[in-house]
Amino acid sequence: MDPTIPLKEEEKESVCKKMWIIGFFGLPFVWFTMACYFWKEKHPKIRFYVFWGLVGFFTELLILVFWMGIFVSKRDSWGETGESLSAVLPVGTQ
Amino acid sequence: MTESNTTEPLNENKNKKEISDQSEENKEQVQEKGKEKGKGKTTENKNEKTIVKEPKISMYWFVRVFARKLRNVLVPVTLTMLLVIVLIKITNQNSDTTDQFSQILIYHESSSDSNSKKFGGSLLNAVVIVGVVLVMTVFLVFLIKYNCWKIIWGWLFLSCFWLLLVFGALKMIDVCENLNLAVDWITLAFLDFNFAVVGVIVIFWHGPLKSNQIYTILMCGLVAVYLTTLPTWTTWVLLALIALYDIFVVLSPKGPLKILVEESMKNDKPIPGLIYSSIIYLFSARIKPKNSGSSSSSELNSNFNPISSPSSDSGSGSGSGSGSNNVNSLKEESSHLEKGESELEKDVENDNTLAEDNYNEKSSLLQNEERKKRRLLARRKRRRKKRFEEESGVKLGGGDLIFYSVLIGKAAYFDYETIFTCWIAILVGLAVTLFFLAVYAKALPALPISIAFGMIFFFLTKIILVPMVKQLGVDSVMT
Repeated sequence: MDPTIPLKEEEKESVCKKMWIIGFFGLPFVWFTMACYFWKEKHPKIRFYVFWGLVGFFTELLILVFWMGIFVSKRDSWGETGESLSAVLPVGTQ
Repeated sequence: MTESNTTEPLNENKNKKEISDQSEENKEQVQEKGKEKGKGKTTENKNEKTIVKEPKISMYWFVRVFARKLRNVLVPVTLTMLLVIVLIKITNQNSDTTDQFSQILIYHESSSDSNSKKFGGSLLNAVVIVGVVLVMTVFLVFLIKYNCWKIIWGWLFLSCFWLLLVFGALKMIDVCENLNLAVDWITLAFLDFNFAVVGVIVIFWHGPLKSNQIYTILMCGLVAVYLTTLPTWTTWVLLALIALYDIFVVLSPKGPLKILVEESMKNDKPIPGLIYSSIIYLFSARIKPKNSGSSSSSELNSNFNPISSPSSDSGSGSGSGSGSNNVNSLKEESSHLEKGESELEKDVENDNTLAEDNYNEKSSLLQNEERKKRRLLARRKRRRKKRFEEESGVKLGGGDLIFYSVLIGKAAYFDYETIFTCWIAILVGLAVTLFFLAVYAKALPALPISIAFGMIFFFLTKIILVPMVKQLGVDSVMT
């Protein structure tokens, strides 16, 4: 859709809801853009979606950071699984 | 292609602005006196009987709007170039890196060939590429003519998604390899999937304007980085040919782009795709999307059907398609002044009648009047500001971004000096194009001037400046 035309009031709730649903498919960043887009809205339902979307986003971000930390530090000691999981093998390690 | 919505030449615009501005200026403190050029109009101040206003300069308004437009255009172009340069430098891309592109070209460049053979071969390659682009544009025009909007949307959607997914992943892996980061498939897949889906949502559906702009820049940057892997001679000849093609396709009456624009305008359906829009139109009701329709449609062209298909795919024409816009247009968004002016004049009338009617209750009336005037003044300032911002909105075609960045990418292979000189040259070319846009107020190709300047300065820098600087450096060390 043309980005230069702002959303009409009636459409906002349906768009917000759809983004909320899409975010459940392992897409926390969609929740993040939804929050950015609808941050200033006062409609209670939209605020509900935005709030819980942000909560979900930060939770998944935390999980991701934990997983990366674990992977980076324990990759060597995992032997074969470690290697098969890696997309990139840094130079200079075994 | 630069296009302005108003078909009136610039002068009439300026006159209208003058009239409306003068009625406004009466109430405002005009500090820009130094720049004012009086036109000697004694404005019929319907509103203020008190102030003798300064004749307002439309020249100043014009310069301010132009400067704002220029800034709105330069920022995305510079950011795309920056992205391309960073990616190239981090992944150490140089003339030795070959990519999938090189395998589909007819003529494979090798350094042992003579110059004329290289030139001939690259000309052949470039002609083939431009030919493909032309075919895809014509195909798109047919699709629009026969109202196959679903096919168009689906094609664009798939190719953008594919582009972001695959090219994004490849580049992420390259960058991680060069920065020696250990990344696992799970994280990579997750991040890449998110990146692609959010991009597609923001471009083809609703999303904050900033995200739309950022993703347009990212997409054009990615395409440009992959295009720079073409062999050197082929790239330069391709750039020159694309600039010429752009002139033909935008300016000639038979050009497919013109037809594209007209068709899209007729049906009032914008074609989604890679266009960088700098502002949101606040008064969406009064600004008909006709302009946005035309601008978006003109941008579209598929450049990459054969080219960007990665080695894995074969028949999946999905890939590449319309990911990029070959048609380069800069569209100027001009606000509709007529309605704005009539609104202002209506306010003026109200104020006038109020003042005349209740002449007796002078003191309270004066207070009311003062308050009303102040409110009117504030409202006018806000409206003026919005109109100013709307007038300085520009839409830039994705193809422009891509080919400017390809030029800079090629310059990045060589040296930092070439990067700087080419950057400045392209920006100057853009400013000149914007100026012509304001003067001619119709669709203009944005590529040729900038690319011409860029190429001239690249070769001048490479042949003259770099050896000179090196020699000076050596001399100062020796002596």
